[in-house]
Amino acid sequence: MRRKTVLILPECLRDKMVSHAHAAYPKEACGLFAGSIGTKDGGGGEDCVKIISEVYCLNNIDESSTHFSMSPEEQFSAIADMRKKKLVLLGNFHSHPSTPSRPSSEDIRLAFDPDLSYIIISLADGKEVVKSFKIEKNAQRYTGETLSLVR
Amino acid sequence: MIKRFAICGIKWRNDMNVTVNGKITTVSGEINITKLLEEVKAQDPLYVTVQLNGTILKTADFEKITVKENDVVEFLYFMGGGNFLREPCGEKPC
Repeated sequence: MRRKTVLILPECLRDKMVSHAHAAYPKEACGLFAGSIGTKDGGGGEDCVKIISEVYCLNNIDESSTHFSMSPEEQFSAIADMRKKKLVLLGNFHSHPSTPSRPSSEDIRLAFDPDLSYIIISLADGKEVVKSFKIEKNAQRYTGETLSLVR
Repeated sequence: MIKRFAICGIKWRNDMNVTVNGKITTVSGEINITKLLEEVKAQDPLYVTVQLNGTILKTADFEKITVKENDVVEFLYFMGGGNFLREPCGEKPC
């Protein structure tokens, strides 16, 4: 059975990502998230459990409603903070101001690290939809990950 | 200068330790950044940004700069996305 990834996301950190998306609207927002990685018995094998404990809201240097890029300086600064706190980079998030919460072909093209989780926040139709994906760039495909909100 | 050699003929080792993305890694001698990225199996080096001892390097300098014992290297992949294809611009594709 294929190993699943489960993300544990505190509601306050989900709210932080969504607020960042709203603040950037109508442009795309982006950022990184970090925490720790464990495993749990998933019945058909060990599932990967990612516990998110920190969110870094970064600037979209493209300043676009249809594309985002992160500044290397801000990324390295976030990584330095993760090292200090002994956290691991778990993934990145970005918003889709007017399209659904799923990876576009451009998102897939630029998903270089297959070990990361990719959270996409959709603000389309006045809603807030937050989903996480594993993206296999070389296979040009993505699969949804389980996102568990906790208080 | 008198050079002394061990009777059992121990080979002069060039391996050295550098810290790569927070982990101490043994590399074979003083190698350039391009070789280092190969050794740590970084995918798509064109899309990798490297920071050496706190300084972000230009991609064009990867072949020229060598790492030394106890250097601290951080590398990360370009992070971006969107609804349409963008043409490469400047230092890195965007």
